[in-house]
Amino acid sequence: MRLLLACIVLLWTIPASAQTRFAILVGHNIGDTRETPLRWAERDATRVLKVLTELGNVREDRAELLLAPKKAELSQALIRMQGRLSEAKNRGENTLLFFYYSGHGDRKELHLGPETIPIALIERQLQDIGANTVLTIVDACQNDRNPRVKEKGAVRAPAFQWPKNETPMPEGFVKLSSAAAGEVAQESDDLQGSLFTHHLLSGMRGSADFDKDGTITLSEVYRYGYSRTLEETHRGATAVQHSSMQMALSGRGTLILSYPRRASAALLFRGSLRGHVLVIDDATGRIVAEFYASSNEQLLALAPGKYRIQLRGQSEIRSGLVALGFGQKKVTLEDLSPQPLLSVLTKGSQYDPHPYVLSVGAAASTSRVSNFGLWGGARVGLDYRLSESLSIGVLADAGYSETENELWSYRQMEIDALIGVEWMTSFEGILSLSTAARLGMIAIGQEGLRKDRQRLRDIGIPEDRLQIQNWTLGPAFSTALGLEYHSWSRVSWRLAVEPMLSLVNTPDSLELNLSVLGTLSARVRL
Amino acid sequence: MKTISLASILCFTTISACGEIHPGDSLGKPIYTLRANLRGHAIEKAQGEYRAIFAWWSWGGGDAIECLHLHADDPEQCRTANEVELMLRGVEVPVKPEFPAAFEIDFRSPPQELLRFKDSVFAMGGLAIYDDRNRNGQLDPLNSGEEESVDRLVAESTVTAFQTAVLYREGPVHPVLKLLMDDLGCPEPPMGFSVGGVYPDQGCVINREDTLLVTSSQPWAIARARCGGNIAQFNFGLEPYPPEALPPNAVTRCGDENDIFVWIDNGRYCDRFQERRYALKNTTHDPMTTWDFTQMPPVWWPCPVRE
Repeated sequence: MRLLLACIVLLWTIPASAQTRFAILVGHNIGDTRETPLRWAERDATRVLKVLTELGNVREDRAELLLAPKKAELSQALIRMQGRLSEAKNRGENTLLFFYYSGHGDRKELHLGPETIPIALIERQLQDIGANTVLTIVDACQNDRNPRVKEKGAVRAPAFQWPKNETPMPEGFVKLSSAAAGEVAQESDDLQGSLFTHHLLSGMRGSADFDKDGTITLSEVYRYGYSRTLEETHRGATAVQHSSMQMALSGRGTLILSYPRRASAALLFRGSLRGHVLVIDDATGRIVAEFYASSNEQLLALAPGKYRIQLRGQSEIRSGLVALGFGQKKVTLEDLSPQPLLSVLTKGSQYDPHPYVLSVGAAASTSRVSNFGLWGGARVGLDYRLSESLSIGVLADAGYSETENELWSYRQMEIDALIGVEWMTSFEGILSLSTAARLGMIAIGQEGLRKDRQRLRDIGIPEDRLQIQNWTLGPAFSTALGLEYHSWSRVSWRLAVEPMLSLVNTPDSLELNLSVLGTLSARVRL
Repeated sequence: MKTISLASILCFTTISACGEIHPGDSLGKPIYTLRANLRGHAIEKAQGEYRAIFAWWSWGGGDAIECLHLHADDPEQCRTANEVELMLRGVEVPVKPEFPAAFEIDFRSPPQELLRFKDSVFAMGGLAIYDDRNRNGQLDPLNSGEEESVDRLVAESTVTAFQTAVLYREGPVHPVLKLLMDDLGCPEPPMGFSVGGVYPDQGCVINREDTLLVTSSQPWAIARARCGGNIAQFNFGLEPYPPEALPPNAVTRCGDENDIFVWIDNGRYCDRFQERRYALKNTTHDPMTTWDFTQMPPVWWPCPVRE
């Protein structure tokens, strides 16, 4: 019913270029002490800002992003925005303010960490802030009942009044809530964001362009977000989620949220593509858009980059990697290649086209031979990701060291080759902690030279007493603890400490050595 | 290479360490292994345990060394030099279980105690066997006032008596070595380590592979060094003239050159090493120090007189 009303009210589309747009975006992962911290709220706010500046006609200098702000900082941002809106109004400009909040909350309050701020107070401040139109989007959460799906507990705010003036463009107050009264809102690790915001952004990029006019209106976004969120939560989440919208708009036309047709880069899906399409940012692995491809063309505004396209049709699944530069890039069925059914079945929507991880880096270790001190060297490794948290792989380290005693100078090369399994736990998508256990072999080649060999050579000491060349092979077992920073694209940096037990043969005995290896590796997903 | 590959495969299959590498503190293989043999000498059962000590000798000083360095081209000039200091640097060596019959000593570095002259390097060493009666693992020094040591020295490859000794040489023959070799009629020793010995049937033999014989039942150099704080002084020179009389506690030993060795027995073990040498005739080239008493030896002279 709400959807129908929205569609009836927002009949016309008007150009928004005459409108000066501002934005305040708030993301806060932390709620009060009873609430499980969120993972993606702050990143959601960042993504919304990106889409608004790319496609929503909001200049970067007119947007303010607040990540994990304190209550006072949010109040100050609102006061600053009020001043800017006042200046714009004095210039005779029609203004629109986006206010986006993602974080914990409840029926009455938003939770900024240990602080709370009444929703009613925020709404009152937004009504009085001086913008012709205010669009608030509240994606708030309350608790966590499932480690993989987090629930967000916003409810619809009570209705409020807005001055009703007949203007050439709609003016007033719109509030989009991620969940209806009594419902929980949810975020997903798979999407790396909240369900609602994900579909909101996907819609603004073009998925919600039902009339194929290259612009996304408020009603289109709501219709798309409502149905997609409901569908998805109905299909696989712990509770269904109905996004809600309250409007108090007056004037003619409709409110345009984004302009995919004006985007500097866009994918144009056309041809015989049929089915559910996922568009995944290859750099981050995040789903940036999804839609159902039908006979019509579908324009999707995206930032230039590489995108993995996955099409789930009725009888097959296809995927492909598409490089998007500036301009429009057409995507047809021929650009996507069929995927083995097994890999699809086992990985489902998490199908990973970059399962291999190549590691290259520097290594330093205490020697596996007693009295040899430290060596420096290099590491190379190749892992295969069985899942987000589990991988198997092989690696090799090589290092060079020297030592000497009163008679001999020794130098040696130590090489190990190990195979093992690794577990990884990700934090905020930026950092991850890994542990590993590996088995393998070490090979050590050694050369020793008598310091006084020339003198001894002169007195006829045999050469085999003056220099030696030895080697050994032995088993090795290592464990590892690593901290990985995911910097950009498919590249990450890992710092690891790896104790290793190895067995080497010496003239006197079989030595069991405990060495400690430290590595700094660059890791690239292939 | 093929051997290594097969060994590698074997390693992988058995998952055990193979090949062999040296720890950083390894001193490597020995550069010389000395074989030693106690021969022709009966050793009674040890009160403690028998151990061996090998010692390199160092010529710390003395007129003889200074003279030989000064007259390197003509060592005969130094016949009058009368004193040599030998410093004992003993190293306890492990011996094989069959000790004391035969054992081996590994050398991993050249001797530290070397006599150097220009490019010539020379060292000599010997070995002693002792009964470590207090089982402290070392040959205890002997204070001059002591009657006897806790440890008992039972055999020695002496230097001065020169039965067998270990020689070490670098560069040209050192003047001291040359003098020694000439006196004993020995060939020039090879570079590096060797064993030299004077044998009744063969004369002087020097061979890298030879065996060091430990035969002396009258310990000499090492025993002497125990009385001097690891310094043994050898007086090769002559006293100017034979005394008119000897005290009643004098102990004498006749030499081969109308000379006699005398020490005064005051009842202390170390007295025997305070030995003096008297001769009836001096053969030095220096006319100022020449004398000849062969026609009128002292009345107490117990040794045969040769013209």
